[in-house]
Order: sequence, then structure tokens, then C-alpha cells
Amino acid sequence: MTWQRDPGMPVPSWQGGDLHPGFRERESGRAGALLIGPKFSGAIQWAGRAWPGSDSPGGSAQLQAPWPSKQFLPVVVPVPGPVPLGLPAAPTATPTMGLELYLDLMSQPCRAVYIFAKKNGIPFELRTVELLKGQHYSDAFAQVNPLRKVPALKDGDFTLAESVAILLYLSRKYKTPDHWYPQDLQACARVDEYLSWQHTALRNCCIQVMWQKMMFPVFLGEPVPPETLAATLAELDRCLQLLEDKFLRNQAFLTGSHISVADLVAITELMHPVSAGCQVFESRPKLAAWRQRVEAAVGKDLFQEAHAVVLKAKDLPPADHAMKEKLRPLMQILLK
Amino acid sequence: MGLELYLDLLSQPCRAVYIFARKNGIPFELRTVELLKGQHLSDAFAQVNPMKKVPALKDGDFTLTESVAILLYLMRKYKVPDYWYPQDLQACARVDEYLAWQHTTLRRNCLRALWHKVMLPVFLGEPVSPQMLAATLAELDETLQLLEDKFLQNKAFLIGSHISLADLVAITELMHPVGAGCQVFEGRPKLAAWRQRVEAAVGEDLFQEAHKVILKVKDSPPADPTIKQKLMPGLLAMIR
Repeated sequence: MTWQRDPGMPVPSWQGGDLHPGFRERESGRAGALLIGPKFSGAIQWAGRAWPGSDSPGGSAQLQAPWPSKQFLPVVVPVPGPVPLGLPAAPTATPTMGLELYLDLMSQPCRAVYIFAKKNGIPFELRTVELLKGQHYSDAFAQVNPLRKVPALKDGDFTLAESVAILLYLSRKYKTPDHWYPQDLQACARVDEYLSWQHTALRNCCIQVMWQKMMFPVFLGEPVPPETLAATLAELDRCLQLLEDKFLRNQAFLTGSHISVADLVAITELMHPVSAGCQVFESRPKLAAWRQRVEAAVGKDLFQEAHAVVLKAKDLPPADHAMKEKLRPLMQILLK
Repeated sequence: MGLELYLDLLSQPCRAVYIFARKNGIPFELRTVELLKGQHLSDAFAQVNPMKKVPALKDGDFTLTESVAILLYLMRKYKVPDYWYPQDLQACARVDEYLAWQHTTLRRNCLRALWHKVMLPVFLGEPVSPQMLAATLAELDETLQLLEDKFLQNKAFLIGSHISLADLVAITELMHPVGAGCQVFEGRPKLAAWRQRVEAAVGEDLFQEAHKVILKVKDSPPADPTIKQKLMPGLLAMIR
């Protein structure tokens, strides 16, 4: 099922527009979280109705944006958004309590979950949690995931963290095509093997490269010693070699002749250093060919859409002081 | 040639695989790969696992690495009782969640606790600064708190009322700092009670057997210089 954007519909902020898709208000007392971006601490959209001119969140809101809003854009015009991607615009006042995915497409595991859900036509409400604005540190989000990380899933009362767990949950619940996580014992084991290995190998590498090559200097204005960056890039190179030699080998996809969740997890990781300007595929024809196949299997439009945010990360305006302080603990980890 | 498991019971993930296979009566040949003798770096072992890590599995022509993948493979192939990895969608997701989370958290902290507290100074003769050790132990402490608060909560086992793969993977991790002399369970009655339950569910004898090596590791004689030189690069990468 392909979701086509209505040309009259507002463009989500992460695609360059002003609206955060998926910001919904929950009535107080209900389980759920109110996630507000700084632009919207004043105006909240509820299933198509705007609260014109309000300067503070509606009375039953459970959360204030935890930082002063930078730019207040009251949304007075009743717009059909925020429209959950994959579902038609909710026509009634009551928000649906179906599957919710808390994602920031800046994050690699979030992209994997997003692509998987969209590709398989899984209906969900997108709840954007902007990491660079520290939204994952909010009390409201902690209700959804006390580990304060994205992606997170909420399915009725059931919450789930960890992208691998989320991908497997979705594949089982929505009975996605077998190739994503095969029934075959050995094929499945290969996917498990990749999903396990990548946590402390490729994943780690790709985050380090992204932050040290780009986010620190550009977004945070913090220089990174050249030796540190060089070591990190060498480690990435090593990981890429392992990816080719141990996993991909001469297969079409990482675990065989069909795309699986392993490929999805891997490709979204590799787009991190790509967006930081690293030549990941240029000198690696095998990997480049694999990338083409994965993009084709996922669908080019969906792939582009999922990566729009991260590919524009280098154009982010520098963080303000408050944001830098908020992100400081993360910085310490990433510079280790 | 039947199922072969390449293990060193010094290693936490190896212990989880060992206990799981033994507990479920899975027939296998144990191939011991002694890490402290650098046997994982041998050419012969590289034929089994080019990543030079344990545990590794060989089932006929099929080789497999990564303990989580091995546990799931054994679970499916040998059709073990459901509670290890439940059919129930949500219960299963909870096990997956733990198994994913632990790689970069408990696993890492337990490894560092053992190496910073005991193995680097005692076995390798490399002193570790008190600040580094304190930081490592503080991180471990934080992770133990998360384990209690987010995963165990008030349940008998990590995901519910039965033992699962999550408990096995967790308990074998925690025995690492225990082997290093850390007070993991003292002062944490909830965790201590959970440990008792896990040991009882696994069987005390099997549990003791699997942990004999780690519980004696602080008595290891210092490594000779050749071994030390061989092991250092891989070790430093591992405990980064």
C-alpha cells in the first residue's frame, strides 16, 4: 500500500516543512504521551482541529515542551493533519489507539522500522521524537520508553523498545512475507546472526563516524581531534570489509537471495556515514551493487523518503547553548 | 559429525549456550577453545569462525556465530519447552527486547568489570587506574539498576513467571563481575532472589559446573609475555 501525499497537506518538518506529523494530544488520565515540538508548544492539533491562538498547551495536556519554544507558529487554519502515515485522515475527534511508532528518522534503527512498516503496509501512527531537540529526555516519552531511546513502539497498552525486537514483533503480528525473517532454520539463523553482530560492530561504527565527522563540528561546533576521526574511519573500513567478506560474500543480499530485516538494518546504518560525506560505496562495488538491490527491493521512493532527514543533516543550523548542554552526556559517550 | 559447540566457559555467552544445551538435553560435542591461551586466534579455529570468537556452532556444514543466534537456532531445531522463547507475541517480544538491549549495556559492563578489576592487573600485569575502575563499576551499578527497574520489576523472571533465554543470558553475564569479586547481588535483594530462582530453574549442579571456570579466574597465573602480546590487541578492542 503506497501512501501518496495530498498536495494540499502540510509538509512534515522533517521533510522541510513546519508541521510535526503525529503530534496528538491525549486526554489527561489516558495512557499516552504528548509530544510537542518547540514550534508547537502554543498550538496543538487534535485530529484535524486546531486550537487557534492558544499560548499554552490545552488544559488536559500532560506535557509542556521542556525548553522554551524557539519559534511559535500558531496554526489557526484547520488542516487535515497531523495525519498518521499509512492511515486516512482521522475524521472524528477521538484519536485512534492503534499501533504507534515513536521514531526520529535521524536515527538508523528508526529508519529500518519505518521502512519495514511502510513497505509492508502496516498501519501505524507516526510519533516523531526529535533527538536533536532532546525530546527523548522528556518525562512524557519516558512513559513510553523508560530507556529514553528511539525507536519505541506502543500497541495499545503494550510498549516495546529495541529496533530488532520491534521489527520481529511487527513481522510476526502482521505476518509479513517470509523472506523478511524466514521460517527456514538456517536462513533465520543467518538473520539472527547479523542482527546480533551489528549491535557492537557496524552500528557503533556508523554512529561514531556520523557524529565525529559531522555532528560535532557542524551541529555542536565542537572540533574533533584528527587522530580520533582517523581511527574511527579506519574502524568503519574494517567493519565494511567484514560486512562484505563475512555476510554479503557472493550473495545478492546479506543472508541469501532475498532481502531480509538484516539488509534493512544494515543499509540504514550505512546511510549514516553516507550522510556525513563518507565514500562508503564508491570504492566498494560489491556493496554498491548490494545497495542498489536493497533500494530496488524497498522501493526507491520509500528509501528516499526515509533518508530525507539524515541526508540533510549537514545543513542543520548549529545547536544553541541549551541544546548543547542537553546533549552533553551523549557527546561524552560518542567521543570515547 | 553431529552438533559441535566451540566454547570457553570463561566467556559469558558461552556459558549461556552451554547451560541451554545441557539443560535441554541437546546432544553435542564440546570443543573447548581456551581464550587465555589464545586458541581462538589459531588458523584451525578460523576455519570454524573467521571472526575468531566464541561461542561458535558447527552443525554438519552449517557454522554459526553469535550466542543469541546460536541459542535461537538450538531452541528451534531441538524444540525445547515454550517458556525459553515463548510463542506468545508479546512475551517473545520481551525476550527479543532484552537480548537486543544487553549487547551494549550489561554485556559490555560485565566484561569491563572483570577485565578492569582482575584480568588486566592480575593476568596481564597491566595496572588499571582507580578512577577507571571506579567509573567501570559505577556504570555496572547503573546497568544493574536498569535491569531491576526496567526488566525484572516485580516479576519472578525477567519477562514473566517463567525462566527464558533472557534470564540465562543475563545471569551468565552477572557471574562475570561475581568472578571478579564484585558485590553484584549483595545489597540487591531483588536481584539476589531472582538469581536463586534462575539457579533453581537451571539446576544447581549444572549452574555450578558452568561457572567453575569464571569463579576461579582470579587465581589465574600471570600470562607469559608471548601470550600477552598475542591477546592484547583483541582484548583492548573487546573492552573498549
